[in-house]
Amino acid sequence: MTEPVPEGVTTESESQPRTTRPALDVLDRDQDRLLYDGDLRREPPIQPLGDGFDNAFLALSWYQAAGVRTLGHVERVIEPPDMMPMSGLLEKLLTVDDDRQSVYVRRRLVEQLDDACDLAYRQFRERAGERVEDAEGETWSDVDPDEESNPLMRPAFRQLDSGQAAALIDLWSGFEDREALGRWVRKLSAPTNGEKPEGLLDEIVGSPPLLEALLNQRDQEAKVTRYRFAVAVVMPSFLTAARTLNGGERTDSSGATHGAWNS
Amino acid sequence: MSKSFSSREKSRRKKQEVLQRLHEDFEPWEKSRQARYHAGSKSWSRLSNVHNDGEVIFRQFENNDGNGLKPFHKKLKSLSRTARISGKEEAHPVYRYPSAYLDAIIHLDDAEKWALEERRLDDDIIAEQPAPRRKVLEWLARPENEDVLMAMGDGGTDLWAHSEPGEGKTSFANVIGGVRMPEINNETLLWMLTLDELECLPLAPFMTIAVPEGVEYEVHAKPRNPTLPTVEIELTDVFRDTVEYSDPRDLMTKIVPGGLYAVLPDPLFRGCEQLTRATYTPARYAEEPAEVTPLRDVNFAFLETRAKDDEFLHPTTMINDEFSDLVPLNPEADENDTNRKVKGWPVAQGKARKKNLSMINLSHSIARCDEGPREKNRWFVTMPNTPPPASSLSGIGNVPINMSYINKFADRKGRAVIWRNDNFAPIQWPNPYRRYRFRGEISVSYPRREEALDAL
Repeated sequence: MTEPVPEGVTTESESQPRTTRPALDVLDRDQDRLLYDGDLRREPPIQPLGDGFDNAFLALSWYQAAGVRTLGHVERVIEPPDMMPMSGLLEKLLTVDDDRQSVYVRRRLVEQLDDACDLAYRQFRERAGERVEDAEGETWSDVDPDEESNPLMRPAFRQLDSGQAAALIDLWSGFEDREALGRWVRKLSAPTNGEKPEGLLDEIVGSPPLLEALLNQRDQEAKVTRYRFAVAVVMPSFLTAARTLNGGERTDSSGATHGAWNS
Repeated sequence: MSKSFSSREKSRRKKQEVLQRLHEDFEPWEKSRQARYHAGSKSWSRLSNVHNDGEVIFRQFENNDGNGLKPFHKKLKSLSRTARISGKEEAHPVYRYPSAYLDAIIHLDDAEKWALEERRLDDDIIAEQPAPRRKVLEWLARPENEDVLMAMGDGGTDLWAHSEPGEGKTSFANVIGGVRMPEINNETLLWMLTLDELECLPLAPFMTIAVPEGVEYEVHAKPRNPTLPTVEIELTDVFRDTVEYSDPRDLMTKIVPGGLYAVLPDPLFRGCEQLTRATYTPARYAEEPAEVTPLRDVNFAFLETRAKDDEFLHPTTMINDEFSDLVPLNPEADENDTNRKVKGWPVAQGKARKKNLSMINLSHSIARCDEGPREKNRWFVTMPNTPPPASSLSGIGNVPINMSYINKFADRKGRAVIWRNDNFAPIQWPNPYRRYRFRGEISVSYPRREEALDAL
């Protein structure tokens, strides 16, 4: 380090004040990332709403991530039909042809989402355990919201998040055959926390155009249909899953990013 | 009167119990390239597809949270990821000031550095490295880590850990020298043993112990539990295998890249005088006690042969415990030529460093050592409750930390601050002694040397 050492050195980041409930801080940071900062660590990466999205998939993926990180309340501001092509809103979210109007719409959305985030914060408050310093010196401040990779500091939510993201990635590229499709529907139970629409598979195979679009890995038009299917059918159950999932608290951030580095 | 049958049976059972404990704790890892080579089945080159010890050791050590140690390249990635997300100013000092720590433990030679600078990752010298090392090198070659790569020196490094007894020097040497360096550098480790205690026991299942040829020795395991007997054991009850050497140069022809060796000193000092041009007197030839050369003096000869003879050039780390006894302040020109030996140390170290020899020195104090070795040393590791040396101490240069920094960051055992010139970084490591459950001492003795010393 090149800086001189003042008395009683502090290298802890003098960022925002922290609560004694680290999971709340983590939630708060997660929501910041959704709206302003983005999160490159996540796969696929979260692009911040304020900056717009490079393509429709990233928009869809953001919507899904926002569902998890607002306990499903993103729906109060952006309903699934808003995410449909030609709805008037989706086009504003994409950066493909960015104009001042789009920028304005996105800024308004970010502002409106603040309330939805607060609602999630209030609901989550009860579930976030309080931690204070114990005899061993383990403290709540050992959790570092910047490093924490579990949304809401709950591994269950990370699993939910990655399960949902993976399901969307699979859906995006379409399916090889009916068996692959069947397996995908089967696997939806976990990422929807068991809230999958009843008779989903029957409904799919009962609609020849939909079935064809899901099994067509080539045409652009089929991709659009799959997108509509994702927004209209899959996303609502994903949002419900985020509302209903509970999970135990556990941190994976060593926290003290500026304490001793763990060799 | 002889003991009754049942009491003999009972003591036999208790001995068995001790041996059983040792065998469970120190079950040797016999699948690696180094293990198979020393088992003698195949030549070194024919074993080139087998994994090295360094690729598995870190998995066998647990972090403080009970999980296995993460591979080092993953730890590096998480450092640079934090820097990418929150900006470099917010990154950990280990990343911001790579010369403080990363330079000390990642060893590169100039050819490797060149390849990394030009991002020639498919070059043989990068691509053919063992996976854990290759991934560290690939990390260094990423554009975002250019500053780290620029900070890397070539050749060996030297770390000097200092503290009062019991503040974690030995565990530092075990984890950083014995676990991380073999993982990152496929380093060969030479742990220079003192006979009093075997401080490298956590690494013993991966270690070959080097024994002086033709010297009689005894090994005892003495459990701390008073109801259990002291048991005479074989070295291989604890260590993976043994290799015999006739003199220091001979050992250099027998060790292999990536091997971990615990070196027992030769009480006869064969080959040492020729190497160091200084006097060595084994106990049996001495006429008075002051003439007898301390066993630790073999370290001078090992350093000399590593520096001059070019028998072995692979990156090697030498661990010298009780360093202040080895190179004391104001060494006397006594019967053992201590002065000549100590003054020769920095010269030989300088040569050996260019040939990829690194050192981890452990000592109680830095001030009570000769200034020559102090001047040669670049990294210091200050342990908890230990005042950093004063900048006015000759051969130290700038000391960038003070006691209040130590108290804040090296606030418990298993933490320390590593520093070099203006740069410093706090680090921590897990307790390696939790790997085994045997409680007690294991000691090696040379009965003939002791008899000769008693006779004086």
